Amino acid sequence: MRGKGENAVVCLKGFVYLARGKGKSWLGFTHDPGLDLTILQREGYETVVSLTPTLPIGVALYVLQELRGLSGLQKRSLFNQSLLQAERLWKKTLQTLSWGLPLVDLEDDSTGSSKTANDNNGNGKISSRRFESKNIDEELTYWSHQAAQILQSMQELPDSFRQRYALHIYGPVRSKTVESELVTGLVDLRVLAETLEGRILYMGEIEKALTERWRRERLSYPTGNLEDMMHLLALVGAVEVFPSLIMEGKDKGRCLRCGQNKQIAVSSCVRCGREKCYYCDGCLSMGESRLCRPLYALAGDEGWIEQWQEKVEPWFKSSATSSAISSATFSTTSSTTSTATSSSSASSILEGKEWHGQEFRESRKKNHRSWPLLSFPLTEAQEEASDDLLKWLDGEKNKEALVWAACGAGKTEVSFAAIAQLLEAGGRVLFAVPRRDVVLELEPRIQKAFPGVSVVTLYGSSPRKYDQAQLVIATTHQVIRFYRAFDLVVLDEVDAFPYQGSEMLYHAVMRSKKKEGSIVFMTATPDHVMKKKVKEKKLSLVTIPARHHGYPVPEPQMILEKEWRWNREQLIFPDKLLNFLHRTVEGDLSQVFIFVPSIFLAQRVGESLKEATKGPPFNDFKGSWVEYSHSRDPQREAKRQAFSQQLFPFFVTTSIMERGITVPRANVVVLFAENERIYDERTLIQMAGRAGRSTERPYGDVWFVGTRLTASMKEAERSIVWLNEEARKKGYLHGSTERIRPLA
Amino acid sequence: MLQQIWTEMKETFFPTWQDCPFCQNPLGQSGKSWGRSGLCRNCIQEIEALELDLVQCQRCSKYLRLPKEFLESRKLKDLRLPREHICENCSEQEPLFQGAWNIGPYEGLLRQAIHDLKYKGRRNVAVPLGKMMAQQIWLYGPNSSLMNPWGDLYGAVLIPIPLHADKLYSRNFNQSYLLAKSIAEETALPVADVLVRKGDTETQAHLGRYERLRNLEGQFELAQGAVLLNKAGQQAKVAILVDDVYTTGATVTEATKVLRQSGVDSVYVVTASAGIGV
Repeated sequence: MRGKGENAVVCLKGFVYLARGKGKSWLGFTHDPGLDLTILQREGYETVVSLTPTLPIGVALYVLQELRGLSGLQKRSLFNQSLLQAERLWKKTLQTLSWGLPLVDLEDDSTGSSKTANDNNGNGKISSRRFESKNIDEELTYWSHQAAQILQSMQELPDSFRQRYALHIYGPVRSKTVESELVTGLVDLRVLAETLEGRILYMGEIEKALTERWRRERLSYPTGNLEDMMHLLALVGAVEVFPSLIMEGKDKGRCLRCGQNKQIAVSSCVRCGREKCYYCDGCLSMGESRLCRPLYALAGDEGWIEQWQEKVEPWFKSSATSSAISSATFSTTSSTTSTATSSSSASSILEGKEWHGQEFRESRKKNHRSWPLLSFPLTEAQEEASDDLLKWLDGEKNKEALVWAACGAGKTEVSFAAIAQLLEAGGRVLFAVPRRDVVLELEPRIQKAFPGVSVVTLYGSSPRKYDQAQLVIATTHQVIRFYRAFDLVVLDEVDAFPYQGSEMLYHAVMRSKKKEGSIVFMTATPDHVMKKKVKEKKLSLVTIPARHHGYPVPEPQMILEKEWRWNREQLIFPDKLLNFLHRTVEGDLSQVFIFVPSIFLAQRVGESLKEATKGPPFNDFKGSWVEYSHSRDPQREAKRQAFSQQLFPFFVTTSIMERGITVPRANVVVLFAENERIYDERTLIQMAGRAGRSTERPYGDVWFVGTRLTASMKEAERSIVWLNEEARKKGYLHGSTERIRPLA
Repeated sequence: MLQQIWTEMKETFFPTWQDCPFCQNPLGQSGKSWGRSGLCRNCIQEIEALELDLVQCQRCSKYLRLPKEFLESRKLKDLRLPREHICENCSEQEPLFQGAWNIGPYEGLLRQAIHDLKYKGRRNVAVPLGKMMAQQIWLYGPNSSLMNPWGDLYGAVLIPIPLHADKLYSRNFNQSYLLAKSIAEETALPVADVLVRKGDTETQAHLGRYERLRNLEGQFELAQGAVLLNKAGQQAKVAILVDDVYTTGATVTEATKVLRQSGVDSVYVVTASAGIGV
């Protein structure tokens, strides 16, 4: 079948149908009406009539959406009833316009096409004869008319359908083989549902997840067609099937995976055979989201797995086989398709011991009162913020909170108390961070704080991506695979997310939390949107204004130069700056971050500084004191390590080192600070926050060196001063409240 | 509403820069490049810098590393490169095609771009690549004149190297076809996707030269009922094969054979990049 690895993309095509029973009808989407009928039969529907030609799922579901919208309308308004009356009057005209359903055509096509359906599916009978009566079926006419109109407005109707528009009718299936197939599938269905719970995945990803579980737990790999099984679960109501990209009208698409509708590109598609198939450029790196590619989701907050017995099983049980299921002896009843493996694993599941999901659910119920275990006590400021967060979690109406902390104030630990509370209640928590290395750094800390909790880390190349765990630490990109799974989502360093402020992040995070779940944003530098939300009281604010050592955050000094002078490729450093650097290193034994706006400048300035440190006032160290790094530097990790181990004093870098690196004794110099494109307020605050982080040297100097004073420089200074003020008011600053300038 | 109008107006008068398709930085950051490629200046410089210290084979345009002594002795700028250099493969056996051109060696940024296109599915990378390939055609196309800028290539058809059907299904596009489309936009030559692959061959990437040749033998054929017609509606006498990477020339040689048999007189090859050989 498939199995081409990651690239395998499955195209799902189907049609919108009208299921009809006595006195009721229902609109749905299917790729195989036989499946739908087996479920719908139980609700008393007898036939399924296709309303559209076969379409890629993105188009079909749009049509379905629109039609369902209409059906709501139809029920509500009397006006619509009269419209129907009018339609009946105009049916002759419609017929001549070929958009009502010419009766002759209908008869011809229905018999002809349902025969082909028989051939294809090996099941299905031609249904009730009443469609062949001479009266036009009003309901059917109405719906097919509407469907055709929608399709036409999108120009999705192939030319061959312009004249004759075939309605396929599928009747109920009464063969024994199908039912027994379904029953054997029940175990597989459960495996599938457990794998998918709380996630939104492509079929390829589901296959990978299943394979992972199959390898680890020796569970059977589902034997049936996965699409069909998913469809069955969808009919029951458990799984939701989305197209990864849905149409919103003619030539307008929206990617349901990353939520944006701007970067939609057109290409021809080999799989669905259309010249004009759409795909999303925004989340291409995470796999192609495409008009014909389905996404499957199972909400984590509707308790499908917990209530499997009541909610799902009855649908698939026929009276003959239900007893067999309860006694867990599948091998007796299952027919040809069931294998020995599936039946053996079936019993193991039903006994409910081996599958770790079960353990995990049980572990939820235990109480761990001791969480979180911290290796050091929280400071006053942290303590208060932590309490504030708990209060917010308990009482407030806002489901979103902002933790605004000074750089280096220890945001991460503040959230632990809130996390612990939810974990104790048996909830699931997501801790999302911007980068992979932060995930790796955070994992041991969290493991230590919450012993006994199942923790999974997710990043680009992480193994065991599809494990279910109570606490998930992930990079933002990975969050895109979750669907209503978490009670609490903590977003650390919101401002540093790769697609900062993008719809994708917001969309993914909002989708990953449960409907009643809460979100905590943590940042040192909230953007104006967040500040505005706080003002409007849509976002609860918790501040941690002081660092743990109780000294204020170093406030930046603005140093203005007339111009930057170059001697060929050498930057001529201002004397003031050279003296400052010299004093820092040889007088104060500290290190200096030197930030520059571009990769090119990092190289130039780095080389220049190497030259400059050879002359006075420095002793000549042959330039070994200076290293430079940037995003294209293959050795940047090594240099980061070396610098944090204090192996060299001057580090010239672009803003890649603006966060996540802590050295005990550091000063900060920002060169070319007038460059507003690169240095916005938040970058400047982060860079300034590198200084004075340790108890050993809780003060530091921050120089913004530029040719003019920009708005972002002013704003950055204002923000830092404001937080310091806040800390002073609350009395967290037990160190000197005066600004310390040991070097001045 | 007002805000929307305001942003629209701003966009009209001060349009935001497009992103460079290669490095994804906004074009304004390092400036738009010369030429029609639509890349940023940084990227184009980087691609041009790839060719430093390399010479091209005169016959197949593959790249060859300059001998070390030569590099060391090169003090003056105008020291002449060894002009008449032909690579081993070509001197052993004259290639069947008339000429081959490419943008640069399969290294660095160019390699990254081709990987993005092939394996990450970033189709929009094909556009700048195709434009640069078209530029190569304009530069090196033989006998072009003011009256006939195509020169010998007048009335030629662009023929993308096909993928096998299975691979095409799993990748969902043929990168050579996308490149050919983009070249066609620049050069007004028609694209004829007439070749098909017969068997499923092993991926070429990890095979040696002779293995490659054997692996590919009899691989291509003309699609059933396909006729090679140029824009004038006549049988095309000149064909330009379009591919992503030229390594040993095995693929294009095989394809050339098929085209020769179907009545094409001269075959040229244009690829996005070429390997570095000896």
